[in-house]
Amino acid sequence: MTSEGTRIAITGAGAVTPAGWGMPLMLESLRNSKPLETTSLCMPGNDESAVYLRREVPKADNKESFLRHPRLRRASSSGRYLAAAAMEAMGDDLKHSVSSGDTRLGIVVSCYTGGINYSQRFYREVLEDPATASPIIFPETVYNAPASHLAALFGSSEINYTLVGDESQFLTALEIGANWLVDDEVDAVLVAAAEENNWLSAEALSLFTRSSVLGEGAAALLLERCESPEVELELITDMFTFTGKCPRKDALHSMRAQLPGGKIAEVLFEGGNEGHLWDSWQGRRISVREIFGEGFGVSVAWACAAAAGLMKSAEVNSALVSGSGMNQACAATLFTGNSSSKTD
Amino acid sequence: MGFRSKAIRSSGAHRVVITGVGIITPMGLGWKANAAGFRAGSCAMKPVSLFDVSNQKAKVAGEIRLPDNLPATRLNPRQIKRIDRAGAMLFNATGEALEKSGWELNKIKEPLPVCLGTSAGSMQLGEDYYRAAVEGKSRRGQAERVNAYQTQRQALNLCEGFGISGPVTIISNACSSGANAIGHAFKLVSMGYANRVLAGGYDALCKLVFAGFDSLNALSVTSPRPFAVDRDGLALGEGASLFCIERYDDAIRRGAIIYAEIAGYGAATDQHHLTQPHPRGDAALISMKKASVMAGLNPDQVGYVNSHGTGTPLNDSAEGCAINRWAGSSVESLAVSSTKGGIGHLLGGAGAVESAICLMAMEGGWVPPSAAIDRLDPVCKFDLVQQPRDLSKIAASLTNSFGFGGANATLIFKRGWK
Repeated sequence: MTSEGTRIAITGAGAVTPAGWGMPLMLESLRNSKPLETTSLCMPGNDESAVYLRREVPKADNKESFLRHPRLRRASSSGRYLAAAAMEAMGDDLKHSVSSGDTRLGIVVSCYTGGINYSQRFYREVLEDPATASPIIFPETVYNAPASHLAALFGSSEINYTLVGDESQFLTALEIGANWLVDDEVDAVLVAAAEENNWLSAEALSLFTRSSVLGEGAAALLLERCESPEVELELITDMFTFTGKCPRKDALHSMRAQLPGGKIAEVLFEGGNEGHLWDSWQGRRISVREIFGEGFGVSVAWACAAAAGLMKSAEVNSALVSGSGMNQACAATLFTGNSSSKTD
Repeated sequence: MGFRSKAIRSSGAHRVVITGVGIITPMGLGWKANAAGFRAGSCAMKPVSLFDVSNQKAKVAGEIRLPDNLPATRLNPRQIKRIDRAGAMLFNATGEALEKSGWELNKIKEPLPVCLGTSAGSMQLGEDYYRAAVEGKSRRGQAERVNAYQTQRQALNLCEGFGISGPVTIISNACSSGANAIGHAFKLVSMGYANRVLAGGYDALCKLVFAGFDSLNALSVTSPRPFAVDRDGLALGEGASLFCIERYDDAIRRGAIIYAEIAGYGAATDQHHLTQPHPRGDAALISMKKASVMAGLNPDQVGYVNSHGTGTPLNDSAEGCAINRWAGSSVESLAVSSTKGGIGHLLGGAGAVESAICLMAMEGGWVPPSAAIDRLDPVCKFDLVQQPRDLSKIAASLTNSFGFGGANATLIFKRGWK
């Protein structure tokens, strides 16, 4: 085993947001702190249905050659977002090293709603006439289709998980990826999440909150073992599940208790589901939800990618991401840079 | 759990054992009924009654007969009323597993991680929500449907019902989900991240998934005949199996019954195609090799292989090829069968249920037969067991699970002891 003293570096990050395709556009939007423009969304083919607000990912640049990969031609929107974020996170050298079999790449993807547009379309066809429902769409409705496309895109035969749950599960994915590296299961891990806009999700969200704006996109982090990381995964707290015995408030306090005291980080990425937990936070704070919309499973992933991006550009030297989910669990993660005071 | 940079962990892997098993399949509820059914090679397939299949090519599936009541839990009647079909399977399998394990949940101080595999989750409720939303007449009940439809809700209900407080991880790797969940739990305990884990897999039949496999012409219009030369597809089924997984040392210390030791786990990804395996089963071979290397076993030390064996032309030829390559010179004496002919393909539940079948076979000293077939696919260089067979002293067994997206997983178990 190589577990003693293992340090994990975030060596790449990628993002697709309503601001556009790529980390620079995401970071620019967050620096501006101005919520992006919204468009309306209603039930397809029914102009009289309820109208919801959303923030859409702009159309992709057709010059992006990887989007013409056979696996991505019919991929869902979220699958394409995921691929773009993953491509950005992986450097060219690593892509070559994985495809040539020199580097073992593990993949962990988390999602909340999955490929909901295809699921909705396929089920509509089934209700109309199951005998003519499209066999091309069905496989893309399966939760792990996007993660499978990543494996094909990069030529990885290694372990590949898709996790389903609320947005906190991106941190479970991050934990799994980090532990795969600690256990020497693989040499690098791509941890990613993606979601896509859909009127069913918008309608569902409206049942619980009137003010939310739907968002969509993807984010990816590349994790590798490193002795002197530029951006380090310092810690992930335990995952605290919300139950009757441990309601959200208690879970959040347990999460907070596992974080270091004093000034934890220069910037806090708050999730929006934490109540008053961070009221006394005195440093900079960023809410990706306010800028990009309700991203469901991708919200925490955006925050982590943004944290890594800001640290990479030396804008901040430490970042805390508070990942409280809608209804499942909460956890937090701390990233530190070269010169920040370490917590151990 | 969680992650701490530079954390120093004790070196060396822990031995990991199964001390509780719960199972519900179309064969019945519980270890006893299932062991009897699988040993005899019974077939529990019947015409689909859960939804309309009149416009589908396939008409049969393995449906479960749910008991009228859930096992005793902390849920109140209102909460119980909200449990859907898949959730009920989960409760039944968990209740049996916990009872067998002797785990006293109220005395366990540390969080108990839960790791579940499912492909469709509570899709039936999603279908209900969609239909009501499209009709647009009333939003009454929709919030409840949305809440209950979310896959994590089933796991959270389980935690609530049995008083479990620990991290919940739901792996959705299509048809290998259940095997991946058990494999992941095994790694958590083995590598020292947790002392014990409740893990397993489940899936319930639903119209969307049935129609999906039918649209792909993957469903048999006759009867599923894994490894027959004239096989024409799979049949779907539903079910769940849950396992209480813990460190060997802890199990010994408390004098627990040990059903099996989890000796090896391998996972690999087949890049060939989203729904079709590589013709020679390359990734399947990788996952089998990884598992057997981890278990420290040669193929000739594995007494029984529960194959993925769906009955589709492409799966069985690819898997057969992979088994031949993995077993090498010992292939002819390797006992292999597929239990999907009797209960159907349980998707996210398959890997877990088939793991339980491996444990039953090792405990009882028998091999569950495949559906009897007239002509064997020539790929079967191994001993495809087609009739009930007693085989004492199966020291180790292996189960394969392969899913859409090329998700391949293999688990190897060593026989337990009491």
